[in-house]
Amino acid sequence: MSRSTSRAAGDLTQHTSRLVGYALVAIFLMALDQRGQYLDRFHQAVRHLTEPVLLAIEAPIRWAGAGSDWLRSTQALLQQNEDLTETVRQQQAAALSLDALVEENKELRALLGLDAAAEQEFITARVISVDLNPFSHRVVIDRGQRHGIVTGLAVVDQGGLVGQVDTVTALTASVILITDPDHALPVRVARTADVTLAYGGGLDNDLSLPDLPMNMDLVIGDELITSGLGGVFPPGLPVARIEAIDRPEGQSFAVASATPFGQHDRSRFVMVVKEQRQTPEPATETDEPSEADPLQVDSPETAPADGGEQSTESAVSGNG
Amino acid sequence: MAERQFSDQTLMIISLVVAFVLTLIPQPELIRPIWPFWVAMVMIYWALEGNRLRHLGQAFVIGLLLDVFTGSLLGQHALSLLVISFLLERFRNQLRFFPPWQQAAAVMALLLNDRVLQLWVVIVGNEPWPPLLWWTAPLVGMVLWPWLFLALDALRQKRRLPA
Repeated sequence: MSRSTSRAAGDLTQHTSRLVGYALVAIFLMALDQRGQYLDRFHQAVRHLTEPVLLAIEAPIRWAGAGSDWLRSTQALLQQNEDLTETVRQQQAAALSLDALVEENKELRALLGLDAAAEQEFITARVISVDLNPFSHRVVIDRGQRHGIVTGLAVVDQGGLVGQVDTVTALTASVILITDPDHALPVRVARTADVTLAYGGGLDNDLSLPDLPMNMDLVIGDELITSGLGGVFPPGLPVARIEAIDRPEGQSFAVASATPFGQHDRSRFVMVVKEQRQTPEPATETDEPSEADPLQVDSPETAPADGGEQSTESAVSGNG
Repeated sequence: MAERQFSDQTLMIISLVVAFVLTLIPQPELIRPIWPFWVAMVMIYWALEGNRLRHLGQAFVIGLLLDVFTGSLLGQHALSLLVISFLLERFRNQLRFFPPWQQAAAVMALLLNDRVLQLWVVIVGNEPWPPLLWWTAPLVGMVLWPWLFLALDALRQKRRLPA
């Protein structure tokens, strides 16, 4: 690594050894990055530096978009306005009946002694059209810490679940998409209520369900929703539709692939789902041990009751 | 002389910044897979013609910066620019005196080799194979190379005149 030597023409071995040295560092970094959380803090720190640059690159494009809006004819805008008003009217009518259902649901939950379902708040965000590496399965949105975004929130678009907030900076946040191969999503089959995991399919823009029981009741066209298990995603968000099921001979698990409803690559606006839990819930479907009932818990032995329920549920999913 | 050195340096930084912007700028879905590796092409130009960016360390740092900005696996672009830089240095004497079309072909070979390397990273990283169109980016790079070469050369000539 002697920098002072002016490299002679035949100094190939030194050059090669330096290549090997640097390459090892690069491969080591990639391995660290691939294997989980070692570099998270670094990524978080570095995002603060890249944020202004990404915003600066995107600004002219945004202005161009605003400019073309400006140039559009009044006629087209009026037409659009009319269409949108009509849509709002219809959706308001639909929302009215939903409100009644929400009320009814609350009352029923109260009767059954369940705690109230978490209230959801949606934060609308624009996808910053900066082109990241296609293998990174991330998009950047223009809402950050200042707008109340925190790591782990679910991100949806008009179709369904898109991803999950990963790193957050002051004005932007990066969203890891559910199509990332490292992303595992607890889902439920809407028709049968079976629960399983959906992994990202990578570049193919689909999801793969690689560990289904052979005899699981699943047909093409079945819809997947988030199960809410694990406590990261709120339950009931539409996720994907089953496209293909393969039950390979001699294998122990069936494999299915699904197409997400969310169109992260085409949607310009997404919504971040912010849950407001009213009570620290004792026995809902989250994995965390409850902290709400310190009086009841006199010894750790009470924990298995809770855990046993969990394991039976997963056993049901495992055996189909 | 010092004047010229300075402006060459400035031009190099500007061209790298432009290459970064070109990499990050939003592209229509159609041309995204064939979008060339701008940063590598600019680096090749400066290493061959400008007698700059010839150190492996420089290639490594530029690659890391690119990884950070594109949200790639940390080290992915660093590794690919390292290998390009190494091969450039190894065959510098031949590459420099190639006629333009042959040089463009050599650049394509470098970029193609880089794609193979990236494919290896992608597959080790548990990603599926990229689409076939992804392999055409080096070809696009080859077509663009003479123009990039001429443009940067012209800019340098212009800067050289007042000195």
